[in-house]
Amino acid sequence: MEINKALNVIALYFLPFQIYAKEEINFPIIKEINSTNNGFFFDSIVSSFNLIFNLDPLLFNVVITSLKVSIYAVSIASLIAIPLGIVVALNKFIGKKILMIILNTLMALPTVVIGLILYGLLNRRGLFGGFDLLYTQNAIIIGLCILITPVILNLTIGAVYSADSRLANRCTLLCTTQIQKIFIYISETRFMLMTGIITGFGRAIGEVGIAMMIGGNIEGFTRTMTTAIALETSKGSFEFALTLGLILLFIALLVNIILYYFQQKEI
Amino acid sequence: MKNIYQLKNIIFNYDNNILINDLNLEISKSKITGFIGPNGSGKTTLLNILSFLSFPKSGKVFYDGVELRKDNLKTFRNSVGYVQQDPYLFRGNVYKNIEIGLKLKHINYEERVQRIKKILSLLRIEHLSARLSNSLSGGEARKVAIGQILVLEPDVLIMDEPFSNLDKNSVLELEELIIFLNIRFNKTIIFTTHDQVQAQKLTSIIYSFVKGMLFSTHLINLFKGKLVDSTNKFDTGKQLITIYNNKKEIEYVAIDPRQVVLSLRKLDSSMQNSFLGKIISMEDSGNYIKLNIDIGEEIQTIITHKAFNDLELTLNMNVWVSFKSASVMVY
Repeated sequence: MEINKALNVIALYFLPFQIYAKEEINFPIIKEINSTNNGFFFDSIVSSFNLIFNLDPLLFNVVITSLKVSIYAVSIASLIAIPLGIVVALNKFIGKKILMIILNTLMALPTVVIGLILYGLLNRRGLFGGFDLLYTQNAIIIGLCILITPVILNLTIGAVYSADSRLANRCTLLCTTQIQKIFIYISETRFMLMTGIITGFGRAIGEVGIAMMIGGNIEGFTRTMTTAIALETSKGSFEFALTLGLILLFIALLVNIILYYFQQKEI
Repeated sequence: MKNIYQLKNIIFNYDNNILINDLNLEISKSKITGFIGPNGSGKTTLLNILSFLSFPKSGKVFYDGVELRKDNLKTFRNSVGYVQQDPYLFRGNVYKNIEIGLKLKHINYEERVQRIKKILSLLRIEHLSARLSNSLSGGEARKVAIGQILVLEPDVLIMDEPFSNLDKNSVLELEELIIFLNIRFNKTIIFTTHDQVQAQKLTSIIYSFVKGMLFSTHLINLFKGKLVDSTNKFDTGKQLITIYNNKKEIEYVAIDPRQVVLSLRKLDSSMQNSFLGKIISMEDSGNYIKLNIDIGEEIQTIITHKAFNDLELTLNMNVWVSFKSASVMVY
């Protein structure tokens, strides 16, 4: 009897493994837990992997939409923020300090606020209502651009500031034009700039407020991973939400590995 | 002789710190000009002005007869090449580093290849062509930096401390290169150094820099130190030198080598400074012999061949070094 109790305690401690162990060992407490709530989470994980390995079309549509809007947003934001960041960092002008404070504030801008403002501008009665952008992927891309441009801009300015101070003199002595200088700085600080781009991508792919408010979470069109997770959980479709969560986690891991690689390169 | 630079009453200060004080200077075309001086004396500031990287706070700068203004500064930059003390090399290999300046000036591919080949061969660094810039030694990096500049064919080559942190072979190669560039291509070369011997060896005109002031005479035996309180003794940290002075603050003293008297015994004279030292180097400079004597500080003196033979001087021999307190210049 005592031995049976002890085994039950051990089995509880190694709960994650009981999913594999339950067929072989027949402990009364484990049976009790399985029949109540514990199996739900682990069964969902198994179902999640099934969904991934069976290449569920609905799931992949959501993943592709998320990746698509994020990649577009990061590309556009990088094209704007990187040259602008280099110009801001290399030049002295009136109001630069104020601009830096504004940029830092924008870094912490809540996504729902961006969603709200864009909703006001893009809905039919809004200033840009005529463009019919609300509840489209383009609207999400615009929102994400607004969200991540300050992030990439700030990190670009930081990258230029931390670049070798002799580089600025070298450019001056080579009589470079402003555009040539931008290209030289992009080339010389490329690994640090990649850090900015990857950070921006990470922020975009995990964003939910903008996608929900101006994307509308339309199935097969504007449903992204994050909005789908929110919806499917509230619908009770936990497996589907969990699958997306796992993919999102995997993407975050991948992003961080790439980020680490570039940071190491810079060192 | 035509002057390439003319500087009149130049003042350059940073905050309240005056780096160059009322400097007047003329630099001849196609000559090698050297600036000697201790750290912080204003040498690099002057080179920044000469390379049009900085603009003086007041005074006039003329380049090839044209007065420089902030708005025409850029147009002259192409004719001047400046190799900074710790030059910056771009990412990528040596070839790309030398090529970048030509690319920025939109020189076509064929000409680029030709010019780079010529420079690599001139600097004897063909073997480094494919090497990454961050894998180069100090001497190799310095040569590549010079290559980056020379490939743009400037009229004036300015180098800040080009010999610092180089091994003996690299120094000799660089000295050869400087002389070759001056003789073969008629380049005006301007450089700074700490080494008085090097400056004398390479340059036709030497200027000394002390505390932002320029001296057209070559200040040899320049020592840094401080005045011992309410005395006329100057402490270099290694030796006490008696000076004739009415200044309250002195940072440097210089002793003209021609004013230094050598003797085998201590002289019974009015000279306030008399030190026993050891001859550590001798160099025959044609009309006279240069001797370096260790008296705690290393002091240089020049004597005639006759005096040298009369005293029967040899290396490591102990000699007395004497000079008048009035012959010590104070700054």
